[in-house]
Amino acid sequence: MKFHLDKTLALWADVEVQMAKIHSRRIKRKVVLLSVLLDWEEKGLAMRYCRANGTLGWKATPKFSQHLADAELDATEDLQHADF
Amino acid sequence: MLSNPTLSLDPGRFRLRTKPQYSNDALDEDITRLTGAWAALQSSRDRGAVYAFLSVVYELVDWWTVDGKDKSRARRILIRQGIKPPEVTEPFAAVIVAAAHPAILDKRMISKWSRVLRYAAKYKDPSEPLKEFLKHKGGLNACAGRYARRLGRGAA
Repeated sequence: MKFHLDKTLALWADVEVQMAKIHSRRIKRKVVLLSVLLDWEEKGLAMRYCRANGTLGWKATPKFSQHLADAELDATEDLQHADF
Repeated sequence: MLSNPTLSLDPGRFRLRTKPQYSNDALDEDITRLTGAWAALQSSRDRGAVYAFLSVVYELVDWWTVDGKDKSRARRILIRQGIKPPEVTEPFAAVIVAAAHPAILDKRMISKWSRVLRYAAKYKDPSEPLKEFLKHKGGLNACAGRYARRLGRGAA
């Protein structure tokens, strides 16, 4: 099974795959990817869609983008209040 | 950036899965997106807002169709919304009804939008956005009419 992800999902899914690989080297990329995508789908962060060539793909939902924006804002605030 | 718990997937925290099942939780999230699009349509005075709503409906049924489960999922979404599904379920109509629930839409409105989306499903190029396709074909009423002539009961 081959997964087609949009740019946003591809970037973040790859982070999750790397993390899983650190945790367990024997874990298969495909299994992690599918598990992550289904997990995100259940949280409303990812959705499936029909691609231009008629096959299924995965893309980030507006909720995912909102989460990213919130996370960036939190990180910026943390940085501003950090005590170096 | 990984401090956000919804984006930081601790390997021990998620279930490993080998089949791309479409769970009830995923369906509920799709319902949330649909009801949000319906609410946006209701609160908008823009005549073009209906295209955004219909695009959300179209996109969902489109991938269900590619997955070969459009009819069964249409029944499932109605049941999930507490609506008794009819014997024959037309997926686009079912999703529109589920999105508007608990509001009850006019039958003719549901029928028109459903015909428009079925026409698009048949003739739209997958790469073309729904709104552009419908506008290019003369708008909603024109597409509903085209459906009746080319694919409806009176089609030659």
